[in-house]
Amino acid sequence: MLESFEVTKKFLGKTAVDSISLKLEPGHIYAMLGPNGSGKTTWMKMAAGLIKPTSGVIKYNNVPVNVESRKHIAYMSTEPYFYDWMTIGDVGNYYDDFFEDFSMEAFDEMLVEMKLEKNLKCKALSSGMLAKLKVAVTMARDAKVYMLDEPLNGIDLLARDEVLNAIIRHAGEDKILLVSSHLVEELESVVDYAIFINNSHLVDVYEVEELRVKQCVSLADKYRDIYGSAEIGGAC
Amino acid sequence: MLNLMKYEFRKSWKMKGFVLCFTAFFELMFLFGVFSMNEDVWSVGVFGLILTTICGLFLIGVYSIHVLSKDINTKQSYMLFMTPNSSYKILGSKVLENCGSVFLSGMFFMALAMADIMILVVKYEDIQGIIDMLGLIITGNREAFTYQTFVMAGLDTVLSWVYLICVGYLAVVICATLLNGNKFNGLLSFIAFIVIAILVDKLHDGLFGVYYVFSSVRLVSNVGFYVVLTAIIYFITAWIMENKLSV
Repeated sequence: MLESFEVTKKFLGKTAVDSISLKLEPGHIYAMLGPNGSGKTTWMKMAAGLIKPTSGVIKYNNVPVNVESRKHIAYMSTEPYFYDWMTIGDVGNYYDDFFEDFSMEAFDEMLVEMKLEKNLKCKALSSGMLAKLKVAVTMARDAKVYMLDEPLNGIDLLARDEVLNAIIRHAGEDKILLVSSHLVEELESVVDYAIFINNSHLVDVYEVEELRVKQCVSLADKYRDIYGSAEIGGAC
Repeated sequence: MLNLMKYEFRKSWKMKGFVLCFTAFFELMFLFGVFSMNEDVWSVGVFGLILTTICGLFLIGVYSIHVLSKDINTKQSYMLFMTPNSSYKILGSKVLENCGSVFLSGMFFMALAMADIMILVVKYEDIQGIIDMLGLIITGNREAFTYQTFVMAGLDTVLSWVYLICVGYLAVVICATLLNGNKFNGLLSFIAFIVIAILVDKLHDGLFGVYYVFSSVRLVSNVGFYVVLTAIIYFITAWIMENKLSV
């Protein structure tokens, strides 16, 4: 279980995340939604142990996230982060060297699916290929928590399907999947819960199925309702 | 830790390769000059080797500080900090790899210099006179310029350079953490680097200034002094990284 207790992060007086409390439970896929600059990435980085909260705490299985929790939490940043000198094969070897849960076999399979060749240099890859590589190397881990920050950015429709399929394949009773994206409609069929964040604050967490069945509202409509001015809802 | 060190080496092997290539070039020039009895050629070779030694050790250290800066200030930081390794291990691997590189390079250059001196002694019988003269100029004492003194002085130089590189690491980490967001963080951390270096130099002079520069007491004490200082600077830097660094 991944829990956030009143977590706040300030950068030079600007509040990026303001007192967010959340609980993510295994067996579910969560979407983290919000406009640019709402605090999604900052929260994810704190959960990955890359940045430290100004106040509050994020706990993984009741222990504050630390070096040990990185063994179980697979984080994929939205920006490319591989070393320039690396080839795709080097990236796989690097993960294999550092993560016990990394499967080179699964990585190779995903490379084939995504039509990526191991001898290609990372710095020569297009943004779409880099995005696919990030997903492949992250999902080749058998982690307990996956946090994918904008995994659908910069990739074509078919590649998006591959990424979404990979997400579904990795869902399991003991796993937490958290995906942030602006492509709300594409996530709707995949996620169980949607976490809405606005202006550094948590707006609410909705069960997607409940929204659809009880409130007759799609995830995209709910998004428009929260961040836009459209009126939504009606007869199911 | 070994994996971290492997990748630290991988980040800088090209630059180290360049240094080796230059060394090989000047060594070949030196050998060609000696065996063809062409003093002009071997003199240029010796000059090139001295220059490569100084620049090589300098470059290896400065480049490792640049790599750390890149590793904590760019998106590449995720490659290190999302792995299940503490800052102590991450920084430790950098210090050890760099220490190993500087140490091995230093030893390599010293061994090369000794071998070259021996070749000169064999080839030019009167070269011993030149070495004695060099000893007199460098140490002020002909007897003090022995191979042992040469090795110890080399070891001291290497260790003091490793310590200075660690101070560089500290300055880079202070810049990215305690001074992060400050408009003058680069300048302030550079000033911190200079101040620490000067203070330690004063402390060193206070402790060992009374001993003759090439005396064995001073040479041996220097080794201990710089090892302890390097360890202290490492722990302070790693602590700041572990508790204050956000990437």
